[in-house]
Amino acid sequence: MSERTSDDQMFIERAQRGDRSALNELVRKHEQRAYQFAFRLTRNPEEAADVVAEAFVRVYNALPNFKGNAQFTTWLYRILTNCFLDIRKKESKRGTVSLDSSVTVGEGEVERQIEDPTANPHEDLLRDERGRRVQRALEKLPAYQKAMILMYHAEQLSYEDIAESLDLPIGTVKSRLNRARLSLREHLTKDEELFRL
Amino acid sequence: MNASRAREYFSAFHEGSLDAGLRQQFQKALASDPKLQEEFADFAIAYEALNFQADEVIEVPMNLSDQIATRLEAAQNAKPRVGFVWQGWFRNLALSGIAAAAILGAGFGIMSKGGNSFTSNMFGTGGGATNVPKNELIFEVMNKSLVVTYTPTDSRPIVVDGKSLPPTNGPLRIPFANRNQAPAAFTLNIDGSKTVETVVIPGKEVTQEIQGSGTILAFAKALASRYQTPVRVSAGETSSAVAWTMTDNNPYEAATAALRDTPYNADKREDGLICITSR
Repeated sequence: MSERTSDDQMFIERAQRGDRSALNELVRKHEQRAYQFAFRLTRNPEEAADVVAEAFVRVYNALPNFKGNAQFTTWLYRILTNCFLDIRKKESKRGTVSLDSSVTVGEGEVERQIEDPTANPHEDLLRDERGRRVQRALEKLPAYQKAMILMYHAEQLSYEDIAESLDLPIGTVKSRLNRARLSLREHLTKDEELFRL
Repeated sequence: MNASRAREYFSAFHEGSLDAGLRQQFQKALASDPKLQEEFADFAIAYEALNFQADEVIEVPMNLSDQIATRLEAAQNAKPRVGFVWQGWFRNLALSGIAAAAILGAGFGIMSKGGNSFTSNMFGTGGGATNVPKNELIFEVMNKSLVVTYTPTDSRPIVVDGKSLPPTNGPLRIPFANRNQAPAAFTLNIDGSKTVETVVIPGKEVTQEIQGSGTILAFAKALASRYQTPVRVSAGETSSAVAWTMTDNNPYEAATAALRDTPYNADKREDGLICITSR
């Protein structure tokens, strides 16, 4: 067990005994990573903060029943994903469309920029353009697939961690991720000319 | 292996995790189908492009902790209360988004004083009356951070950087930490009291400068930054100018030498906390 995991377990046990400072510590330790994942899912700062705050409320409410069979981080990923999916579900019931990677401003539409500081300007340009297209393609995937893709590629969780987070067999995770990547490839073929540069 | 089946193995082949038998079948299918080759080439590009998602820099909003604290408090209030409740405890989280540096929740139990803490009774009622119980502050060094435990004997809240922390029914632990590059100073005083304490928490940046001049607070920041140690300034008067040279490897020795001919004095507690007081 890593030191980080061991620390989490200690904080959880103390929080379960009613020590609020331990819960604070868990929040403090994980809020940034949680926000980054939530932002990747939502591409919207307000919505991401909302997902994170709601996730920690669920952690607070569920903590007494947390058995410690899973790592806290994978449990948190599951809760964040569920919060995100719940928001998307509500939106679809209201008939809204998912966020695109562009925003409308007074003088027209601008694309969200992906910060990616690298050295070579040509590589930068290509990577930025590919990055934007990948973002757009990700928005077209079902929310669940998108979450899995982001867990693996952006959050760099292992297949085992994703399986634990989503409470799925590892084989299922692998096959679903493969299907998600195939779907993503199909969406990207529309931008193939540039994508294959 | 047909094309449809082969697509199921795109990820595993790209990751190099296919076992030998399947890899051979996959390669055979790929070699015999130019369209599949093209699909796999696109797949590989998409796969690698996805990995760049990890490089994206995402800025965490300053008020995130505040939002979380607000929601947690609401959740706490929605629950039936059993026994006493630590009102406003989550507010300790929220302060991290307000101050220039973060005041963070620390993972230590309430009132776990330990042997290496010390008590300050400087925060009296302000009038110097000896028959009034005094509010108690305990300073504890936690690595580069500092935890101050405030045990009130009346209803007056403690004020950190001009912001009153909500009163509690018992001791309030206020953990200070600093995620910024530069050192950060926080003032503490009991509401209504003129006595002010300052704690300086080092940032991530280790300064190499050994000489400088300025107020005692500037010195405390220089000391904290150079030696990566919290510093407490408990001087009644902090405006006198001092010039310093810090050559010693030990922060206490360096502070003592630097303040030798100044109106200030350096003291060192058992847990290593450097405390600067007026002579």
